[in-house]
Amino acid sequence: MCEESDATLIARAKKEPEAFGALYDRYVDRIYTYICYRVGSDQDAEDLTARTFYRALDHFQGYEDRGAPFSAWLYRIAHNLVANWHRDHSRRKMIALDDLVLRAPRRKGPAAKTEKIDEEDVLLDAVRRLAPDRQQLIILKHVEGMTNAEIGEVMERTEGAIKSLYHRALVALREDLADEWEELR
Amino acid sequence: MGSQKATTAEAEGTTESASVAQALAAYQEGGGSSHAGSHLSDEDCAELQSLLQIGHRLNARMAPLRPSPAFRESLGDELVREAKHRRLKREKRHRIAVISAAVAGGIVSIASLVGGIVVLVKWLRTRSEARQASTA
Repeated sequence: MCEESDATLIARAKKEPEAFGALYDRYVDRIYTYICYRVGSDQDAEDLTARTFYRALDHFQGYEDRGAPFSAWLYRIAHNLVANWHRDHSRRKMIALDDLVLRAPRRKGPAAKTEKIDEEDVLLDAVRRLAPDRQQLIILKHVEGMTNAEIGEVMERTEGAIKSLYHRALVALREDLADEWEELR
Repeated sequence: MGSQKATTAEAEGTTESASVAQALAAYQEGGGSSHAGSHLSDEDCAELQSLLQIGHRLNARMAPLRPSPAFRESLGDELVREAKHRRLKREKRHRIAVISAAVAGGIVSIASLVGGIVVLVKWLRTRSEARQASTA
């Protein structure tokens, strides 16, 4: 059985609420993944995922297909909500428990088993320290497997701009990680 | 002269990083083709390899995540309920608008009819009075 195209589903969803549910099912995992990597907490990711889809519902009747995929619109909503979340959290200067765990000092000694885990946590930490647009690109490329052209549609930039941004993001990660990975060795 | 050299060096740096950026994109979207960096200098090749290593680590670490099934299902149900509720509200608003327009139209029609009758009665009275005056 062929899956309905986004365009067909969107047209149906403007009249039939159940079809909006089908759109939600199609994209909820990807939006949740994106948000979870950006905020680092399951609970906050759930909250922001819900807000993303409620906001999409608020503006859904006015949504028009302008050539970009529907997912690009959802990612933009999610990105803006995450940006607001970071702004609000930086004001409150809250430190999430996850951050405390990730930034705990590494113990010397028989820690060979945990070195791999530490390196991975260090990598994710470094990704979260990137500028928001670089984080977005890294997640869309390395988690969602999107091409530069597809990422360009989400981020409203040209493919060339995405290539350059990706290059700069990797250079920034390498510089940030150089000392930390050296410490782990 | 010094500033010209700095500008040239900067332009060369920009060109080199553009080449590495292009090679990086070609490698990734070409499915890891080893020919992606074949045109690069040794230095740029080393740069490309270093960045590709970071890319490989990102691929290894960053996997798709899933919300809990309970959350996924409850939010989905909630959204469909809310979408239904909003549709009913829109339909109700539309019905009220249609009825209001019909009532307003009806009032205007009745008012026009009454106005027309009043004008006719006045005209008939005026004509009758004029006739009586001319007979007298």
